[in-house]
Amino acid sequence: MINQAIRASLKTAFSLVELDAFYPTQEELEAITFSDKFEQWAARFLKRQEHFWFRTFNTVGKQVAAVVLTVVLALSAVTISVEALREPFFEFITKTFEKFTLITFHENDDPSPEDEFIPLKPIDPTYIPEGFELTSETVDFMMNMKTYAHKNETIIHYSQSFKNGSQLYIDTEDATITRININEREAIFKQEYNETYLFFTDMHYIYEISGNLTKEELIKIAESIPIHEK
Amino acid sequence: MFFYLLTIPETPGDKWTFAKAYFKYRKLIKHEALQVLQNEELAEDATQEALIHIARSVQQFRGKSEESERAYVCVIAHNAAVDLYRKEKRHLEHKTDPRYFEMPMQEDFLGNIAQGDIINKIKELPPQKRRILELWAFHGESRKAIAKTLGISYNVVQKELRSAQELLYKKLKEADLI
Repeated sequence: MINQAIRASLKTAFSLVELDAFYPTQEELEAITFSDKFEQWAARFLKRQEHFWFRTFNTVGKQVAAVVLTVVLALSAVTISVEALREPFFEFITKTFEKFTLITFHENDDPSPEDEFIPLKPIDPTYIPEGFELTSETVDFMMNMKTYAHKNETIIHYSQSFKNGSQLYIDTEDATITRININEREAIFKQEYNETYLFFTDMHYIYEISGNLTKEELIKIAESIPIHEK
Repeated sequence: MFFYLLTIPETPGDKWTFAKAYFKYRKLIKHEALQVLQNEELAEDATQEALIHIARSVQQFRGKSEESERAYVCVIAHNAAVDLYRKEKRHLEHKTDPRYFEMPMQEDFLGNIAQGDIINKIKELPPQKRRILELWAFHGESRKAIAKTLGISYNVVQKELRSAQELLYKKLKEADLI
């Protein structure tokens, strides 16, 4: 059996050296490059995990929770509303589970008739903090998602997706949730360790911004989203 | 599709952890893979495999120190490269895979050796073995935690640790330090 005394001796020995010496230097890493093929794969991989549907239903538990909630609502024919969260364009059903909150947006919030599907019109924040570069982007008729990265490894994720009939999952375990105002709209702000997340809606869309940013920066980005309702 | 859903980070927090890890470690991962494969294209394939592994197990990285995270990433990259290497069957034997000598070791073979000598011999170990020792001895990771994060069995971790110590023992013996 591996002896605890050996472990202690090894620990002392390791503590005598700079661990960096066991790893490639910054110069060696800077010499590493990636092919276009790899970059394309990586961009797709990063985008997929951000995709609304994957994100919303990405675990069996959440899928089951979503189905249960849907069945309960259908059987009871009761609309559960949270009055305190009710705003003209911010109406949703919320269900808090032990570790996460599932928000279901009403089907009839969007006045557009179902047979007149209007593709998503991309709306982007006009303010992104200095030093950030766009590193991935997905814009199609359903989604507008962008990721910005900074040299200091700070990341900003922005997404705009349809609100109508959709569900939003928020991990509320170990998180502080507060309601704030973004240009006179109610928004939900979440802080979990050094990660911040904010979302709000207009008549058609859900806007989400997140990253390892300060609350102030996140709000500044949110306030720069040029929403023109009606 | 179902399988794919299980391969991605579970929560927004995990998503950020993975995204940060991606930008922070992708070059390190490829560097590690290149050490094994010596081929750009294969190293990128191994990098993809390692990133998928990290995305799947990103929850295991929560709360770990940066140094321990780096050691894990290197081990995952190395494993992905070795797996690919074996699949490619370019060589029958892998040069950095001296496994399990079954060498009889004293219970506390490091007890009377100067720390400086120990670390000099640790430096001579193949990176993979050194990192397993680093995770276990220096970062205080349990064998169970290592197995979970690397996605390998407890017995494999046990064997790797044993093998790393046997190699260290052998090197110390060859240098007449034991």
